[in-house]
Amino acid sequence: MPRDLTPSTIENTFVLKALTERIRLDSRSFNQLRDLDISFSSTEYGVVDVKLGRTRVIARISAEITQPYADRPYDGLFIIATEISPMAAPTFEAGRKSEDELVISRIVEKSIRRSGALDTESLCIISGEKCWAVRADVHFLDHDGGLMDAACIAVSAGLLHFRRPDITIEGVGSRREVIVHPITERVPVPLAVLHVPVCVTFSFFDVRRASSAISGRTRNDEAKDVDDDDVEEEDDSSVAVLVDATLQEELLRHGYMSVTANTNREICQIQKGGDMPVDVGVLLSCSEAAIMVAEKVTKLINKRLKEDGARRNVGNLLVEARAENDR
Amino acid sequence: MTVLGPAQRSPATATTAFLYRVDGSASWTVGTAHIIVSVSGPMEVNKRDELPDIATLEIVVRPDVGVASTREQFLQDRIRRVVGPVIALELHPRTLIQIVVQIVQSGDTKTLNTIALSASINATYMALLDAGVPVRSTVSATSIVCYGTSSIQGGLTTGVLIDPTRPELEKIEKDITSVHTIAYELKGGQIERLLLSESVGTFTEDEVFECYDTAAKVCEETNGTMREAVTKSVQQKGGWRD
Amino acid sequence: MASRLEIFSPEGLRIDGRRWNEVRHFRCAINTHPVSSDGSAIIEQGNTKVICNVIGPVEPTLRSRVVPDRVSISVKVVIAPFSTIDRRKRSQNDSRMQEMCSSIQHVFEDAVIAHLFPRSQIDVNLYVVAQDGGVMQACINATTLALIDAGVPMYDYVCACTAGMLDREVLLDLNRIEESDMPFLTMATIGSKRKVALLQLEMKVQFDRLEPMMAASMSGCHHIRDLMDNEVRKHGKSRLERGSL
Repeated sequence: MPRDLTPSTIENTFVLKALTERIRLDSRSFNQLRDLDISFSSTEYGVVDVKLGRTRVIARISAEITQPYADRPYDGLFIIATEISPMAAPTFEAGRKSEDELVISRIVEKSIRRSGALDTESLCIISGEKCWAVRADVHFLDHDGGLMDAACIAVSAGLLHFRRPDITIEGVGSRREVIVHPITERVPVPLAVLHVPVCVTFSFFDVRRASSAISGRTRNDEAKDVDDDDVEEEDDSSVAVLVDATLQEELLRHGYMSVTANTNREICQIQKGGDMPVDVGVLLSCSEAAIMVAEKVTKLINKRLKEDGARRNVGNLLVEARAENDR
Repeated sequence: MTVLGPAQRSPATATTAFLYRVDGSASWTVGTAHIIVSVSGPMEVNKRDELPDIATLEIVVRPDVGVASTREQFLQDRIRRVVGPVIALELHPRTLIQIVVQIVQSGDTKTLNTIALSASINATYMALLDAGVPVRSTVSATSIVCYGTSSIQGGLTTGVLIDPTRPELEKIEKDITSVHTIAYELKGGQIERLLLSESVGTFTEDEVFECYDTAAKVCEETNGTMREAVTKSVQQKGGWRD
Repeated sequence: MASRLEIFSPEGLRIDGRRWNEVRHFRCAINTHPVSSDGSAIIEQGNTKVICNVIGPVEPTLRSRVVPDRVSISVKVVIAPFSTIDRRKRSQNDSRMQEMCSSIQHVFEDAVIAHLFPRSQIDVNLYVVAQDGGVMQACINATTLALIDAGVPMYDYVCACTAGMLDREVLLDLNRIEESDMPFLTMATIGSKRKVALLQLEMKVQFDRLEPMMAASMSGCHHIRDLMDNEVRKHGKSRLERGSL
C-alpha cells in the first residue's frame, strides 16, 4: 500500500505564490467550479455518473422491502454507503476506513439523510410491518479532490432519477399482502424528494503564511507575527478562499469548510474542521456563495433529468400510462 | 447449431484509460452489464503480503449494491484463476499488482452469476493492457445461457442466448436449462487454450461441446472488439508523436 | 416529549429560567489531577461535566506518530455510561465520536505553537462524566484549560459555545432538551477577535438565520474566554503565593 503523497516544498511554494497573485494552476477563478457533468444510465433507474473535473463518482440507488425499526414504525429506511476503494486512488486501502473517508461519509450523511432530503415517512407501506429500504451506494472511481461534493451531487441526482416499482396492498387486517408490480407492468413511482442538497467545499489558504515561506523566513518569525496581530486590525485579504479545490490544492490548503445548501436558501450542514482560524465574515460569505453554487448545480441536475426523461419517453408512451395531471 | 438451436448475441463496447489516479482502467459494457476495472502496479507492497519471487496479485471486487458478500468472493476467486496465470508475475517480484473490479450494473438476475463474471474478466484484461502490466497472452470470456420452452403441442423449442441483457434473462428465467461461463486464452487472434469453464444446470456432453465451439467464435469476436479499443487508446495516447 | 414543554416562554424565559443570551452556570477548575497527568481541568457547563487530562509533550510511543516539524496531538473521548438517562454502552468506533475526536484534534493542532515541539506527542484524554447538551463545546473548553495547565504554549484561548434557532429566536448555550428541538451550531473561536477555528451545523436552517446564530455564539465564546481567563489567573496567583511554581 503506497503512502499518501506529500507535495514537495517547491510545489507548495509555487502554488501558494500563484495564489498570492490570484492565479490557480488550472486557470480557474477562485470561485469557479470545475466542469461538472451528470449522466444517467440508459437501462436502469437511479444510476448516476458524476464527473467533477477529473473526479468521478457513480451513485446507485436501490430499494427493497424490509421491516421498519421497532421504535420508528412509520418510517422507511434510508442508508448511504460511502466506502472508498483503491480505485479512487491506490492510497485508499480496501476495507479500512481512513480519517478522510470518515469525514466524507459523515458530511454526505448529514447533508442528505439528516437534512431530510428524502421523506422517509413516504417509504412506509404497512406501519410496523413493511417499508421500503432505500439504499444509496456511492462508488468513488477517481479522486482529484472534492469527493464529498461529487458524492453529494451524485446521491441527490440519483434520488431524483430513481423510480421504485409500484405496489398495491390487498386484503385487510393481519392478512394484508403487498403486491409489487414489476417496472414492465406498471409505471414505476418516483421517490418523495423534499429538497436537493448540494455540498460545496471551500479551501482556505493563509496567504501571509505563503509569503513568509517564499521570503524564506522561519516559523519563529511567524509566531512573532501572530503577536503583532493583536495590534493591527484584521484584514480579510490575508485569506484566499477557493471553491472546489483539486487534489493538489486539497493537500496544500491550510483549512477548509464544506457547506451544504439548497435552492430554498437553506443551509443543511456546515463543517469547518479545526484547521486554520478564519474570520466569521468570510465564513458567512462562503455560506452565501454555497447557495449560488447550489442553484447552479440544481439547474444542471434538472436539465439532465429532463433530457433523460425525453429520451426514455420515446413515442410518448409514459404520458398515457400516467393518470396524474400536470400541476 | 445442431443441438441447441439459434443463438442471439448482444454487442459489447469497451473503453480504456479514462481514470487518472490509477495506472490502467477499462470499462466493459455488454447487454445491460457495466463493469469498470482499475489496475495499479507494480507498486510497493505491504510487508506481510510480500512474495520473494513473484508479484502479489490483489483483486478487490466491489458490488453494485450493498456490501461485498460470498458472491463477490466467488467472482474474485474466478477472476484470479483466469487472469493470474496470464500475468507475468515473476517479472516484478516483491511488488503489488492491484486490481479493483467495480460492478456498476451486474446485468445478472438474482439467481444467476455469469454475465458479471465474463464481463469482469474481459474488463480486467483490458485494464491490465492499459496499465502496461506484462501478460503472456490474450484472454476473453463469454456467457452462454441455454433454455428450452415447451409449447402446448408438446414440442420443445430450445435456444441459446450469448451475453444476454437482463430483460432477456428475466423473460426466459423459468426455462433456463444450463448456464456456461467460458474463458479462452488466445494467441494472434486464434483460440489457444480453455481457461475457465463454469457450467451450472443440466446439459449433455454434446451440448457443452457445442457451447465451447460457440464460445470460441464469440471470444474471437470479442478479441476483435478489444483490439479495436486498444488501438484507439494507443492512438490517443501516442497522438503527440504525429 | 420535548415538544410538550415550553422551550421559550412568551415572557422570554427558557426552560431552565435563562434569557436568550445567557450561558449556563459555568464552573471550571484547573490542575485537578496533578498526579496522573501533566495538565488537567474540569469544566461544568450547566449539567454537562467534562474532565480533561493532558499528557505531554513527550516522546512518541509509536514511530508512526513522529511528525518531523511539529507536535502531534491525539484526542480520545470517553463517554461514561452513566452520563445520560439511557445507560447504553457506546463504542469507541462510533463514527460520531470519531468525528468529534478528529475535530478537536485539528482545532488544537493549529492553536498550539506546534513547531516548538518537533518529534513529540501530546495526548488529550477527555472524560464526559455528565451530559446535558453541548458536549463538544465542553470538551474543547476543558482541553484549552488542561493544555494551559500542562504549560503547552498556545496562540490564545480556544473557546467553544453553541447557539440555536427556535423559529426566529436565537438561544445561546443550549441544554439537552433545547438541543433536540432546534437547529444549532457549535462554534470555537481562538482569541478575543472574530477568528473562528471550528464551526459545525448539523441541521437545516434558513440562511438569513445563520448570521444572528453565529453572532450569538461568538459572543458566548468571548464570555466563556473571560470566565476561563479569570480562573487561570486566580489559579496562577494562588500558586505564586504558595511559591510552588
